[in-house]
Amino acid sequence: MRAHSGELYRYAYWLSGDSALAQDLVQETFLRAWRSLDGLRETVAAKAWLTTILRREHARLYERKPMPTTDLADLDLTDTGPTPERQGEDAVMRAAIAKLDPKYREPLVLQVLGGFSCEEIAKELGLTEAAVMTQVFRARQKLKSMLDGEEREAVIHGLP
Amino acid sequence: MDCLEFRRLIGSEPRLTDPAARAHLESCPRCQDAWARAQALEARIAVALAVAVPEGLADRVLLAQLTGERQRRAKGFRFGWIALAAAAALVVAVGFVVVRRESLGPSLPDLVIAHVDGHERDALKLRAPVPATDVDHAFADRGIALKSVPEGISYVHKCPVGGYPTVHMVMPVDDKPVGVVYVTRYRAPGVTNFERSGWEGREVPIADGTLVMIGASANGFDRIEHEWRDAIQGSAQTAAGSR
Repeated sequence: MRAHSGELYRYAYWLSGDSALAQDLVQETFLRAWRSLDGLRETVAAKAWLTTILRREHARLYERKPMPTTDLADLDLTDTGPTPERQGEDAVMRAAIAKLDPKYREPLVLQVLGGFSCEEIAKELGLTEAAVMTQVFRARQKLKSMLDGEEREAVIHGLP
Repeated sequence: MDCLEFRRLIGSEPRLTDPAARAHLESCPRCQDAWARAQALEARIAVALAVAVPEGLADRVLLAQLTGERQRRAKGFRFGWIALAAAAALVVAVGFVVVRRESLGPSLPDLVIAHVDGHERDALKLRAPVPATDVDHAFADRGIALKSVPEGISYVHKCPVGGYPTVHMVMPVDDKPVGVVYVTRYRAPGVTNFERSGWEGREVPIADGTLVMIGASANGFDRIEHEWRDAIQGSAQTAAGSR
């Protein structure tokens, strides 16, 4: 449980854009997982199984109670990097990821954070593998484009 | 694989698991530069996605699993009495996390004590009997049709304990409370008497579940066990010695 809670929280955070809701999602996910432990056939599949439960819980919460805001531009961008320069870079990148359309952000998060392959993500999201490859490719292209824009703006304003 | 295919691939699968892509990378200096840039971007993305995990999240999840309480993160901990219960339950939870489900048996008394003594302690004070229909309905909701309903039940509630659906009851004996929990979907391997945390207890496999009793003493355990065997299995099976 401890091995997966941090990873699930991060996934929930990028799915919901809200720390409090992400914590609730993780809690509900483990409660549901515990009650249906028989559904887990292999220990190695635990991460994918928990991810599926969390996605369903997220969908259920959306249906039950619409989120007050889905504007991820308001994400907490508190920096924790080792140096001011690095902190700034991380904050810019988080802001850029937050601006991505969910259809690009979610597969990217599953791939980078979860370590899932495009084939596994396709199964999880109910898409074709080719569609997932296109989405994660475009996600990275959009991030690069946004970051280039941020850096150009920084140069214009004489920022480091 | 040509350069265009390679550039497309590193945009969608930067870990480069494809042997053909690896072979191309080794032979193409320009794509090696592109791959290095892609790896740098990947590292930035990974760092940015790894937002800080709230402190104590795993412990709160464990506590919620233990008590079945869906409390809202820190709110519940503002109250002293919950913090005390949480502290007691957490001691059990830390041990519980490493216990596989197949070996839940030895931990069941701890779970029941944490639930009865921590989460629903006030229920132990109740003395007035609840209607038999309430007991009947609680078991029916758990998929169990009772053959009879024992008398003297002062509290009944459907509670999750350690993730298992249970019916939690209180049955006072000589004006002293006995917590009685019927755990469904888990059958203990045998009858076990235990003493811990100031409680005397007994767990008894009945039908497909386990009856757990805890009290200040074992007074009344034999009678309660017999009554619940009759109630769940029927008096004929109890008389025949079925366990």
